[in-house]
Amino acid sequence: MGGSFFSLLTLAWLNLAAFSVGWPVARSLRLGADRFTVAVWGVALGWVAAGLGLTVLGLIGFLTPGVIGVATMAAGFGGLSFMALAAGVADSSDEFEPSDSSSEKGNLPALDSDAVEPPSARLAFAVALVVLLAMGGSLAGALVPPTAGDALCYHLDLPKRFLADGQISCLPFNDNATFPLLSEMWYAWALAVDGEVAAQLIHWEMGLLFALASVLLASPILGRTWAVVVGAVVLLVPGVTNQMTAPLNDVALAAMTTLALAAWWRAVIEEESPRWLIAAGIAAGAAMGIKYVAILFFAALGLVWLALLMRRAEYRGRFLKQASAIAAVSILVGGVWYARAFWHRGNPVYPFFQSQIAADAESLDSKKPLGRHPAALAASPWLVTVEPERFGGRGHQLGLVFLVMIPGIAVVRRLRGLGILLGLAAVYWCGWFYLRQNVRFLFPILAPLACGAVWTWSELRRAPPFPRAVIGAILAGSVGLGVLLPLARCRDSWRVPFGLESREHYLSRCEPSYPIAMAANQVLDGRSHVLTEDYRTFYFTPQMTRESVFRRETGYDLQIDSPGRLSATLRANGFSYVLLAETCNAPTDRAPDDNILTRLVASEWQKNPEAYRLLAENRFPMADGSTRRFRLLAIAN
Amino acid sequence: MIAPLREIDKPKPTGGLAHARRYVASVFFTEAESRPRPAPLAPWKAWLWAGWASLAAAGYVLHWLGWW
Repeated sequence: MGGSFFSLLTLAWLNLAAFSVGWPVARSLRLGADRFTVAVWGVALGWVAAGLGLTVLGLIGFLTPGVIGVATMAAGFGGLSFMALAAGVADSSDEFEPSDSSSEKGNLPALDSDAVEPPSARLAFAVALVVLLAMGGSLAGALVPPTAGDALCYHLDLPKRFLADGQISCLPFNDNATFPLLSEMWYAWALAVDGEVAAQLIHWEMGLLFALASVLLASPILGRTWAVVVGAVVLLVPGVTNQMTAPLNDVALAAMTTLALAAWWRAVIEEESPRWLIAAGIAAGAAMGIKYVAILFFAALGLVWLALLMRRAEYRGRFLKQASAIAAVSILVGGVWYARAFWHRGNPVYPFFQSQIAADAESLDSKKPLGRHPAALAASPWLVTVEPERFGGRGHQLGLVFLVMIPGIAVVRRLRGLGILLGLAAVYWCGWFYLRQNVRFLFPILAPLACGAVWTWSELRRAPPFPRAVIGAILAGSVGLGVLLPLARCRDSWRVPFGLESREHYLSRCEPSYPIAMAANQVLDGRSHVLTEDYRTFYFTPQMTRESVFRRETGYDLQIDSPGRLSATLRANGFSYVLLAETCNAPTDRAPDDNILTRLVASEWQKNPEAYRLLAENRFPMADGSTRRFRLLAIAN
Repeated sequence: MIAPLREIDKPKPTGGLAHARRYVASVFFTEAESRPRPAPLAPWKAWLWAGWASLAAAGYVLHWLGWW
């Protein structure tokens, strides 16, 4: 209980520290006239600024817990005073000027009440209730120690290594080390101040920011009240609530792309202050700094923008100026990661376009389970919804709301602006289909899709009673699914946040790598170098190098012409230990592991029993009935 | 302030092609500006939508249960 409370307190303090930078920026940019808009942008810009600050610290070699702790403490107090100031300013309409394009445009557009009638009080109450339940479930999941594979592989492991090194180092044999790592900088912040649970809570908060950004995006189109429902729909997507319980980066990416889109809308479509272009550039740069997928999103937005120019002549004169302003700011904010990848790898978007890695990726059917046929593209919305396990897993699914509600657009009235959002979603969807068919890569278009779904939802009142009841019941079931799934997911872990089960005990029974990591940490220190067959390395103190990457880069296995040479080869490459990880009793429908290192070690060990010494062994029962067997071996001199 | 609804047809053009376009559009869209208050959705359109929603829900549930 105390650990959970401290992690939540850490998150609150990090927010205060971020707000101390973000709020003055949002205020100086005069982003909107209402308290809500300024608060959301203040928090978002604060996180971006904090990420950039940590990046600079990492690049100049001052990324240490001490430096971060002192800066966080000072900035947190600054945030406290700004919070008080913000409350005072928001209450005083004289002190805070609206956006300078016109006082009318700075306020929310007053929609025609006949056209978009606000939801009833009962509906608003029901939506608020289900969102609270879903958020409670996802928060319970986010307060337990992380066990997500990618998080333990690099989202948390890299910041841990950077903090240990005091800098953002380019780790050899680690593909992920030169990815865009803005969200990992946030995790480094939390790791330095508290620990991995606080880092995980940052991504949970990014889910909330994603919903708030969706409200900002939808407000000028649907009105504030229905825009809040858009935010709720986004928050109830099962994949979003699932990702909010793990320190990954897809939800953070979606939050930033949605903020960028909302700011772009205000600058380009609503023709409000050009300062929105700066906000769009900052959010776009942050998105580019989080994940390469952002490039696809902004390419799709660029295409939609060009299409708009063909139809609306009045946009043409400003296009170059607006586009170059957004591009310049986004390069300033997010370009550092691409420059770094180019510096270390000779490729700004490494590992894309690397022939060997691309060949490995192509060999995996899971990357494009539908192939590239246009008929499959047409069927993909159905398949992604109904069979999400083919596209990266049921945990990341979009839920049923979009498939049920968006086709309704064909029969309801047309809403100004919705065509642009859905056009963007369609272009992005095509790019997604031809590049990488993973359902979580669709998160950046959830807010535009939610706008379409909520518009048809608001139009349901025009339908005759019986079909309205049918659609309403299915919609209620779909929304209910978004509540039940996060609640069901935490049924195995809800005791941890309340202190009824310790974090260590939870990890011992749920995280396969944890017991062997604890054993390894007792006998090895941070200078030990381990070649590991398992990719979940976060809980290990020693330096861990993934065998699969080492093998691909060096081809060491091809150099072993006799079994006795393996240990000498590994020693020559700086390894003192190996961690073997095998799956025993695997289900018959699962492809067997290709444990090359295990086979090579077994071959040498059989001939020379002195070549390796067993330091620790653990057998971990997996959920599918198999057993994961770990062996930590010391390589003899 | 912006109006929430696009005015689909500004001044209605005349001619065979424009008439055909309006006819095709009328199959899918209700012209908002022609009615001061939102008119009820045509029953066949509502049932079409409800049918699709039922199909999607059935497909989702049956696949979830492993029956399809």
